[in-house]
Amino acid sequence: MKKLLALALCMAMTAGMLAGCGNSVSTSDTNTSKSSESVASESGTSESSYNFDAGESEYPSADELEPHKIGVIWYGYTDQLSTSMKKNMDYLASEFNVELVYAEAYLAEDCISETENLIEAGCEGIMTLGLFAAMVEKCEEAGVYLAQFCNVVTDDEILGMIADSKYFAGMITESDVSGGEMMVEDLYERGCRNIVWLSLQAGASANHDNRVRGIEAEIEKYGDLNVLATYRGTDISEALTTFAVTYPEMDGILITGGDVEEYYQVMTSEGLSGNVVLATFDIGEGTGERLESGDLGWIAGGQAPTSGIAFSLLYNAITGNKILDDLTQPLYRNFLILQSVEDYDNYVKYLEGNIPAYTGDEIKALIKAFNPEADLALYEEYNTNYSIDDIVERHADLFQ
Amino acid sequence: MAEKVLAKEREEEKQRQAELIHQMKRKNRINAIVPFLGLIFIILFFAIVTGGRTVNSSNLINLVNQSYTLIIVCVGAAFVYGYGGMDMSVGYVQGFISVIIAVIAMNHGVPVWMILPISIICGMLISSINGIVSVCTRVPVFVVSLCIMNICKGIVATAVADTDIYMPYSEYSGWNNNVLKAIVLTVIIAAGYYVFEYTQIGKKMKVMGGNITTAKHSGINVTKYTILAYVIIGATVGTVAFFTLTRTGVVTASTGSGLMLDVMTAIVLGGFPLFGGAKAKIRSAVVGAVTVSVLGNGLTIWGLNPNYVDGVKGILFLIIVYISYERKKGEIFN
Repeated sequence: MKKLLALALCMAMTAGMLAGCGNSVSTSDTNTSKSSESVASESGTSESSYNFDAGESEYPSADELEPHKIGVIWYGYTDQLSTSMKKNMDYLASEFNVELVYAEAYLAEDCISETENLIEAGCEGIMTLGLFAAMVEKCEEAGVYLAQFCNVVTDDEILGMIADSKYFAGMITESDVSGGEMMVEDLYERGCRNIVWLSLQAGASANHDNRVRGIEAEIEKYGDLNVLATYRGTDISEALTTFAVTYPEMDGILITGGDVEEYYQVMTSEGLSGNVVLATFDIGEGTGERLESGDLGWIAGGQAPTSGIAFSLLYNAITGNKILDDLTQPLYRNFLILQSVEDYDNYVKYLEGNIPAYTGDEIKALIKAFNPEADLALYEEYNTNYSIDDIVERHADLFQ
Repeated sequence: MAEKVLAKEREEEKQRQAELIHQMKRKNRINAIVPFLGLIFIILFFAIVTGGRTVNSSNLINLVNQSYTLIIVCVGAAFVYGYGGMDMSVGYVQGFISVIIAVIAMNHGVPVWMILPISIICGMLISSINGIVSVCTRVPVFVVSLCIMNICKGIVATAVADTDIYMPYSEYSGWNNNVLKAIVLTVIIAAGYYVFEYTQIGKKMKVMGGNITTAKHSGINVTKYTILAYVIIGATVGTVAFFTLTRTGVVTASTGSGLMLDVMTAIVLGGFPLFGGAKAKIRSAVVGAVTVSVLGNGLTIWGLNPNYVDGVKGILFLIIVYISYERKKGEIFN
């Protein structure tokens, strides 16, 4: 009896506590004034949502749109990139009357399980970071649309399945290889000749592996660029500390991403500031000061808005419109490159503030149901134009 | 007169004994049910909050798919934890076996049906190193398994350094079959249950978990049963490596990396005593594994905001453990 009472009490306590949690991001109450304040009030924090007035819109508002349910499979929702991506997705959900269901998975087995769960949850489409053959198969069987973002498939068998798929909407990612090339080029132009490069363990991340490919290819081009040491593993900060002690002649560091704040700390603690230039990925705290001091010469980021473009591919597919003729060919996007304090200030103002990289109307312009002119060329224009200057030009008037 | 009093006392004694037996039976019945209460609670909870989506037939099939890996390894883990051991290497051993069977399958033209036994044998051999090294060097098995984990991790990373290993999915997907998996799962649970609960192997391992010195003094070959525990868990990891590969079709640097934590969580949630002993039961390991899978499945279908998922998971864990543990005696219901 005591046990049953305890069970009943626990259930009541849990139900009470969860009453405030709400369900996934349901957005049918978005108003027509194109303000995203409804998102802010829903989440209860201004930091987790945008807040701006986009003015009159030529496209239908959320409450005029048919509701849809979309699942998102991502590696986690706690780091800076993930929270920015989620903020962007929540905003788009409010603009498109879409209910989002988030799932956390990185391993192949987990991605497949979460695909099954999202199909069971009633999702009409799934956006995913990792893509495996069983996921394509299950979505095909269930009639659920699938799009990949921030990563691309390379396996021939999966590409074959995608090519024949009725429900695959496309793949979109940043050009990691050219990002790797650009960072080497930047350090070389700054006069660095004795460099080290560090990256995650091979195979741990396709993005990092591709950046390394870019670095290695670009280094080959410069005969007088001396690579003192390389490291691949999870303890990048420790390896950087070791390199700082071992190679006093080092004048350039290339890192394919990770916890940049830790790298900045190592540069200070090991006396590298002022003598060595860092080029890395993943914009984080302290980037402005490091760009100002010259410790940081080049940093790339701004991947979160890629989710918006993937969302538009999926939305097009769900609403019966096809954008890509060849589904096996991924769409590639630029990274946002910061090389000065001004770039960083604009990044904070235009990317991390109250305005998304693409407003609801800008994403709606990619949807054939709203804009019959939407096509691959328009997508490519969005992707290749993407830069700090592009965002400043598009959104300067939103700050007035 | 005295005879009457004596008879009355006998009658009262009989009644007292009958009452005690009745109470014991009742307690045994409760103790048999309690470990399942946490699981029942979680199933009911998700059935309510998802409007029944989690208990429909298609999701139950999904649950078999999603939980069979963990259940199989937990059956093997019961032998290791049952004797008081620990295995940190299960995940990366799975990764290592996946590399081996993927390479064999792709480069040596071995028929698909032979891959499963090869995978099981590889698992038994690799995992047994944990036990062998530990008993030969007297290094705690926790440390040895940590070293084996790192060795396997390094091998997998080297094997997939250039590119992930993709298996021909279409060739193997026939083995990713729900009926086959259900049969394999049933056989492994039944075999594990029988060996652990009713044979000398399981009983001696529990004695070792209860008190290793007593086990030695009572003539149990501790070395033999330590190694045997790792051979058994290795067989289950080998089985899982094969079926996981037929499901995912790929080996990456992360293959198997989440398994060890899932196994430990399942063991704890199921109420399996972490240091083994007489109260170790296979059913606890299986219930724990199913609970972990139901939790993962239910949280996604519920569609909870990811910011709240970890908090809710923690609360649900606490409730499950609260229901499944008998705190008064500091013991676990079993």
